[in-house]
Amino acid sequence: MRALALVTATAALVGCGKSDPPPFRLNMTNVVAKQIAPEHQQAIANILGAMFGTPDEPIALKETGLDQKKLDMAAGPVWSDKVGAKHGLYRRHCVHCHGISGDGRGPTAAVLNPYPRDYRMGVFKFKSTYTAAEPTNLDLTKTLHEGIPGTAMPSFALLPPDEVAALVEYVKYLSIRGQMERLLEDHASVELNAGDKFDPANDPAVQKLVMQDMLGPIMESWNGAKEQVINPEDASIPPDNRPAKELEASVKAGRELFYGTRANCVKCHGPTALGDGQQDDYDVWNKAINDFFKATDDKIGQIASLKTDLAKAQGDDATQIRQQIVDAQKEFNERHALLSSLLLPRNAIPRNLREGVFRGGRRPIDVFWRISSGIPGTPMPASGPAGEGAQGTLTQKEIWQIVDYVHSLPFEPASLPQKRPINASEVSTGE
Amino acid sequence: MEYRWRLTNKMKRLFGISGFLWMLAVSLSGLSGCSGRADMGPVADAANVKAIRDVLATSKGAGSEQAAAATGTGWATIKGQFVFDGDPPTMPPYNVTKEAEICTINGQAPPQEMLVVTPGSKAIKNVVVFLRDASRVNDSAKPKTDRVEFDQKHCLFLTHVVGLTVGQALDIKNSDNTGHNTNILGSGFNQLIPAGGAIPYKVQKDAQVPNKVTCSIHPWMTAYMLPRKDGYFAVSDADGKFEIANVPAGEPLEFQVWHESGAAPGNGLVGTTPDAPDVKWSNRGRVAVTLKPDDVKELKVVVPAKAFRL
Amino acid sequence: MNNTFKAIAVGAICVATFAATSNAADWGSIKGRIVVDGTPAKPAPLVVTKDQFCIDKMPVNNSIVVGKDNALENVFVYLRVPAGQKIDINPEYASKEAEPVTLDNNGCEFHPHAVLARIGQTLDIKNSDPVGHNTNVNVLSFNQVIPSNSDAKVKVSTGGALPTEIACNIHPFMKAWILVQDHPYTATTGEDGTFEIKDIPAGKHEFQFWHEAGGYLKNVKLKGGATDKKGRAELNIEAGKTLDLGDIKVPASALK
Repeated sequence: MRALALVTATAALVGCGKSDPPPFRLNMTNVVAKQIAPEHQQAIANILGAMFGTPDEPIALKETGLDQKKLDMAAGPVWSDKVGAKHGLYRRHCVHCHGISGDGRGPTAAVLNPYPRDYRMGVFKFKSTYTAAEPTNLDLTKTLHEGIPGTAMPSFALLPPDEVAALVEYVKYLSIRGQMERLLEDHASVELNAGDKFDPANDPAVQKLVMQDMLGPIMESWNGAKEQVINPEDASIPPDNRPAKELEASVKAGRELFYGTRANCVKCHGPTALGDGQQDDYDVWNKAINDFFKATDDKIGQIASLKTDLAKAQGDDATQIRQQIVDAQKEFNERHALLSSLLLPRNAIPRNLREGVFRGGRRPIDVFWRISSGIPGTPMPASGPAGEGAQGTLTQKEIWQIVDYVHSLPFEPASLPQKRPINASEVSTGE
Repeated sequence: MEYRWRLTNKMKRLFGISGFLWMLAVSLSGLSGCSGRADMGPVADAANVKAIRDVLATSKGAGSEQAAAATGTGWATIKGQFVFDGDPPTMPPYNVTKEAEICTINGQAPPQEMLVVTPGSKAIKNVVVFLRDASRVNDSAKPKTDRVEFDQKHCLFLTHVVGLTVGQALDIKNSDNTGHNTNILGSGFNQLIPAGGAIPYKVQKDAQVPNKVTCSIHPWMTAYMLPRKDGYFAVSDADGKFEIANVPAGEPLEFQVWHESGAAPGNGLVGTTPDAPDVKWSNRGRVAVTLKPDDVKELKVVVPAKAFRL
Repeated sequence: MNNTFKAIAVGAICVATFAATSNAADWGSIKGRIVVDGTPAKPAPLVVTKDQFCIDKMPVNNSIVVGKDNALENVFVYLRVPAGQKIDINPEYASKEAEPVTLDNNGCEFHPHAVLARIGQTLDIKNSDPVGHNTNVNVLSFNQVIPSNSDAKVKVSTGGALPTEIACNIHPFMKAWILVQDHPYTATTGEDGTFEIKDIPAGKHEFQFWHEAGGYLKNVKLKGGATDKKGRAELNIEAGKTLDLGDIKVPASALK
């Protein structure tokens, strides 16, 4: 029974009818962009395998503090045991969008907008902590519980709490694994030359590098998250039952900040607050893909330019340029082979604030956190302090005023459906 | 044909999504992953994975220290002195913007206390040390009940850094001939203390880092307050000295070293203890150490200038 | 007997070399000038659609800046300390470490375009423009609003082996690059293409040559050799001397 489930799940994930359990794959966009030698790719896969196990048999390494029981519940193929406890929760609920390795490239990813989150950078948008900090368990639980309004991410509020907790643990596991992978790839790209050995099993220095210099700071950041929560001063928090006059004054002050040059919200969210300001930028996930496309394009120009040089060069110079052309062509081919598997990058579009749909939650404190620490990974900057004791651009009181204004926007007359003549060219005919 | 139907049905149950989505998923995954055009990269090699895992399991990494989470027995004491390495910066005077007749001493605004180093000995005052999580608490370190005086004079908080236990009462006094309002950030306490008067305040909840205390009337006034669940904390005195007695022995302890101008995250202070190689410093200013029963561990903590954000 | 004698001798040599490296006189310098060989492709003009102030200022694409006599500006030249190792720091640098590094938003451009910072320094981000900016320093996970005529300070606590991008998301055409190292032996080429790094411990060191359009400046000829595939070369710094690399020619084709 379980074996059959495994086979079918594998077929579903690989899509090619193979019967091996699904493996973790490396982030090939990063591997190719950083030109990591094949033997170092293998070494990285091995180190990650040793530290984190496989999608069917994850390992809660002691140093990560992850909970093995929770990981076991979330990982592996989907099945239920005799007493009805569910296993394989990640593959039951998440994998079709977020992918086996948490790369946000499950089979449905291409038809979703926004694309599902790629956990591997360890960057999460909706959280209660300072910009540079990781989210708390509570933040991730809230996202699972409430879903992300306005996106394909549904609410999992109907799952029992222990299943939600198992999924939160597994998301952290995939993030930590992804962050480790990135550090290993950065290291291989910058520090290693082709042929260099990179094996912790035989080299204590590599072992120290991996466990202390790489995993250490990642875990410090995750474990320290709960101490990085932004708790607004009680005195700054507007009381629940404010007289209308007071609220009105706060909305007005918030509006002035919104359009003013200090908070500068208008620059991106637009003078209409429809999100029609700055629309040309990317978030970090799409930027990585965009840069990959751009650099692949640049290679063509570079090869052409090298060929011009070659025509003029002689002797050793010519030999060297010829080698550079071969290298550039090889990199271009590797890049080109990946292009078809990538999702086309999309711009980060500032939120339309007139719809009353707030992805990170609509409670005043949610909107406060968005403004105070910005939205990590996206162009949205922080207006509050960058960390405990740092100087923020706006005071907490001012941030609450913007919260009030943002909450008032969906109810302004301009936000209601407008009567206007329909321009034929704006209407899709479905052709 | 029948086989295919069974497979699809199985997959539907596996994914728990509708048949339509499932078809979509199949067609998309078929488009993206199967043609074998893109190099999907290597997968882990089982033999090497095992070799690495064996090494990691036996390594003296953080794991072996964490593994000893079992509590020990007995008690020990940790004490020491903080010393500034190099020439400490001179503190500018407080920016006294009003009521100069009350808020200056002999017409001079007092120097700021962002970093107080005793000339000569270079001892650093006002460094906070506390045990982050105590597995057990000695009777001598149980929450205290005695009242603590917290006075202000010349528009200065006379105790610049104060440590307390939850439940302890603070008498916030005002010895100036002008009104102050004392705002303990993070506590919800923000009250006017009349000239010559006093207001009691009871510490309700503990904190992971000291809370700032300010006066909105005289915005340059600053102090810090650390409320803790237990008595395992100390603030270094003018000789840079601190002592925390009767901490759990025979188990790994983690102390936080904190200073208002500490450069590490959360104002942690990263010092060095060259004479004590068993004492491990993290880059957040946390100190890991295990003490033997009845041990009195004395540390000389040398703090480089760059450990301060000044 | 013989072995014991060897051990003592080796020990003595170790002590001797150790004493020598910590001698204050044993520091050297490196300098040079980087020029482009040929004419690089002109960077695409910036698309400036927003803030009349920025449009009027006409900021230019600084990804390749070639000055007089083919001088290449904004090349990062720095000593590469292998992962997990430390290098002696000349006391001359102690006072500089306390100074903040300034990054100005001026005329809808970042000044300087190539920024150097040491871990522990403070990055003081100013906005001298009448319009608001935000400064997004990815390597520091920092992204904060910087209103007109104000500044924000951030402690530099995380670095990387290579320079990384600084951006303004309100004006996405604005770009700068920052290199954060745990030592002061870093330089960027100025308008005249020259660079100089002083007070380096004498001995062999690996130097990195990197430019935002060229990435690793590889196979670039230096006196007595060339940079490798990763734009690095091992050079010998002699005590009390300045290693003058003279003109270093970067082929135009290396700058995309």
